[in-house]
Amino acid sequence: MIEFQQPAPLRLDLTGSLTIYEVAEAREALRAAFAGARDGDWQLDLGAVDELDSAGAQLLLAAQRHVREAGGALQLNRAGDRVRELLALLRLNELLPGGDAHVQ
Amino acid sequence: MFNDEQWSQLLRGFIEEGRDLAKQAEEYLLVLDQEPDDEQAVHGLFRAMHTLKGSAGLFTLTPLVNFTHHLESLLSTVRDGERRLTAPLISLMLRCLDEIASMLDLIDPDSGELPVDEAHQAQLLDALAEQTGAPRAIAHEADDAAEDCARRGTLERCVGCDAAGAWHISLRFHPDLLRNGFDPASFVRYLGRLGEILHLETLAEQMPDLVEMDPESCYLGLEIALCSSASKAEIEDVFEFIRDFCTLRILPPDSALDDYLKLIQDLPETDERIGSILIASGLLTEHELAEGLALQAEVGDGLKSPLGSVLVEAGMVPPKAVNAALAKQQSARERPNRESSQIRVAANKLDELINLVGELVISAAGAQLQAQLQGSADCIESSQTVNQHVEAIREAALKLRMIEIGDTFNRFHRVVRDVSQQLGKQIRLDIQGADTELDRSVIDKLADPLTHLVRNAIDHGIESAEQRLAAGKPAEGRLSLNAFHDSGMIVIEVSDDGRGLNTARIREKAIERGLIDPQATLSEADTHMLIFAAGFSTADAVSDLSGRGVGMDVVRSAIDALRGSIEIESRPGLGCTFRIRLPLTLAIIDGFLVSLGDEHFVIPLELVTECLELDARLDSRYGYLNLRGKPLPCIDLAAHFELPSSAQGRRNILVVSLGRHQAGLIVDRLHGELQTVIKPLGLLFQHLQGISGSTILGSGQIALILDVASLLRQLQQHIDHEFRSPQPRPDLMGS
Amino acid sequence: MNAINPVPGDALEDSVQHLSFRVRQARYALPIELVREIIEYGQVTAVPMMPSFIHGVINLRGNVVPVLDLAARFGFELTTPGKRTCIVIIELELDGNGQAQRIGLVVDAVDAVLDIDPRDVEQAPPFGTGIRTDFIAGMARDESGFTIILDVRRVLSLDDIRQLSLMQQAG
Repeated sequence: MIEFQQPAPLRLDLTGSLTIYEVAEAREALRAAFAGARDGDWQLDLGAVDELDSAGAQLLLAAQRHVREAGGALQLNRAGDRVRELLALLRLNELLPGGDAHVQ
Repeated sequence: MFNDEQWSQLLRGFIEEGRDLAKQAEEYLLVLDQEPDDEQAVHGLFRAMHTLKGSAGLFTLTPLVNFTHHLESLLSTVRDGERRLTAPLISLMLRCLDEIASMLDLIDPDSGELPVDEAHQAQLLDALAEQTGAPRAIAHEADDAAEDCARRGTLERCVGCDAAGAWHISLRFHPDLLRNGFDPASFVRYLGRLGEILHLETLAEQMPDLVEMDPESCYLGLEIALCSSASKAEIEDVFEFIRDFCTLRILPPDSALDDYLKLIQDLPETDERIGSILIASGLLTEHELAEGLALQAEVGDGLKSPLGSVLVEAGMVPPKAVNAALAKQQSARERPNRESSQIRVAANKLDELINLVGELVISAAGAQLQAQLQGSADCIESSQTVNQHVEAIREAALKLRMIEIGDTFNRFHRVVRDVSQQLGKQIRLDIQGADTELDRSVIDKLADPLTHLVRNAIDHGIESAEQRLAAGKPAEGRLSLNAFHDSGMIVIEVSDDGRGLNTARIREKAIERGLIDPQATLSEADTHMLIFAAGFSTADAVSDLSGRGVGMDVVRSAIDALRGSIEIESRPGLGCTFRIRLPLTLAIIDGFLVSLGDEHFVIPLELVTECLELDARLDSRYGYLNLRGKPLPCIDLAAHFELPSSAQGRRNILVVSLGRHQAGLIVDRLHGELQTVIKPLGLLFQHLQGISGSTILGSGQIALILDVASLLRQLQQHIDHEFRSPQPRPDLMGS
Repeated sequence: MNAINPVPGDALEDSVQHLSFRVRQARYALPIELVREIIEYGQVTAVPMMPSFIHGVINLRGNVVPVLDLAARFGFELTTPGKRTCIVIIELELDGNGQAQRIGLVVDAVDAVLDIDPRDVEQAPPFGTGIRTDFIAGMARDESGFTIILDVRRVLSLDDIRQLSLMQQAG
């Protein structure tokens, strides 16, 4: 189960799990959110994400590329231990919090 | 990543495979018992243990991992030629395999727990340690080494590592990997337990844009540099479960430059990208990469001589290093293809399929009959085509049921070894005809009778070494199992070169037990057959080996239930052979249809040698006819079965042959060949002689299948009791 | 054929349903739970060398089912099929193996389904019924007289059949 909330124009708060079971739904939510503001400096708050697997990580990577290509950026915030462990395991440094300094 | 159910399934699959591996290992060990220098067996044994250990590790079945690790260490010293497998060591290892087998049985597939008898295991491990002179805590050494690596920091070259380099592992995943419930992350975690991951990059160059991608497909690849003292096989085993869902390339440390360059070219990403990863992992220097790629470009495709030699000439790499690396590569590549070309199928699914094929055969025959009645040429041709295909399916389906008897025979190596040790005799087992195929159900039912016969031979047949030497025989006794086809029957022989049956003693015991009259005179063969009578046993003490103490009548009834027969050939002081004949009772039969009056009968086609018209008559139900100058014993089936037969008209005779015997069966009309399904007649008819089953013809009529062996026996009995008078015999041919 | 013929008095829960039929004018019954179907008398393929009451086998939708002539089993002459002759297909375990077998019984006519109250069942008399006493499980009384409840397993005793088969083949 995953839920998206958009408390501010370039911010998305995710709640729940982001795994193979949720990625299809999540992709639609992200696509919709990014539409029209693809080049923005996006902040994804993962404080309430309890589980992340490789499918979820792959999706986040795709999301980051998607906005980068339009000149935007994507940053993950408040990632919990489990999320960070997975990202570190796969050495997905750009996604790690603190990564992706806005290049422009 | 896996839910509980999936995990349980995987665990069950592992347990099955584990059992197979343990069985294979036992077989190899028994080969080594006879041929201690058989390299293939040593390697096979090692591989089996190794695979078992790896998979057990994935499920964290620590006691199993521990055990197999010790066996594996022992085996690697054998493989490297450092030690030989002596008989006591083999016995010990067999006991260890038994322990592994029982561990597999103890695993709870739902919880993944493995409760073991610590004391017992400790005993075995101590015994092993004694033999190998190695400390027991071997398993921990590997862990310590890994920890060492970790402590030195992630990016430093690990000093504890053997080689100057690290393993390079390249993984490209199949798009369906994630959908099938696998997660690359879990494999990376496991890999991390084998050693230290010095460098890792997740590649996603093939991934389309967020909007176009399929989020559930996997577009990822991994390039990993691993510092580990594990072997290539161990590393490969980590990815055992996703073998079908990824392309795995492993380069050992000290790989030839050529290999790295090849890897670079094989991978879809750009040369520079991969090259830079290899450099980052410390496996290549920038210089090597640049030069190597340039040289390769010059040399072009289709060049066979390894780049290594080119580099040596150019003075870039010391020749010894190159050769060493190449040699290492060669042996690492020689991973024998153990991928079995077999699959497991649930037995009931197979039975269902066979049943359906059986019904198909009948209905196709019915359809063909209808077509012929209709008379439409197109219809007839069409149904013939269908029948051709049905025939093909039938053949294929039947083959599914056939198993080689070799598996069953091979199990006896262990039995012979254990029992002969227990009795202090030296016995060797020879197996022939292991590739003879039998129907699955027949093999199942043969296991018990064969075991009885084998144990009997070892227990009573073969003498002790001293007795044999005193008799001028070699100290080692010979037990042989043989299987072959003979005129439509399967023959299985259990022979020994022991003391043979004691005819006089058998006769004595039989009289004692009231089985025969003291005045009766029996032939030697008939006396021998008495051992199959219920309540008979010449063993003075009930030996625990034969279980119930009276095994032979059980053997007889098992063979009877299979509609087979058993005969004994024995020569005093020389040995004894039990010969079992079984019909190839498959569900579907190729037969020859005949009729007696209105009743139809089917004779198994493989027994029919010829069919002739008959003008002559027999005076009674049995008699002789002259077939090309030789007398042919015949049965007038109508008379034999007490059925009315057509008084006029030509009659026909079917010449059948079974083993050494030939006979003629006199019938009314011949109807030709047919293939059809055997329908058992059931318990009501179990004592019926001469009929072995029934079948349903295309017309819906029932035809009875003749039990030719039984008919011939009855004929033989009649002949034996008859006085053969040299009367002129009616001629079959001519006139 | 399926008319329920209630036993006099209340139809109690303990009564067991039976199929009643005739063999040579006498009435017999067997528990309905053994009965699978009733078919017309048709072509029976003879099986040689069997006791005469084993009529032969029939093709029941692709299965070969043995057929027993009850009259012959009881010691009468073989049945000559008439208009009402039919074959009652029963299913039961013949030996201890757990394997249920189908067997057809030739009867002269099938009557009805009876509810038989165990309290109305009496022991078989030692004579007078015309058939072996051990074939009789009991006698059920009703207005028209007695119905003999068969001990089917005894009728189909494999030991009997084996002995008779062997005798037949030796003779």
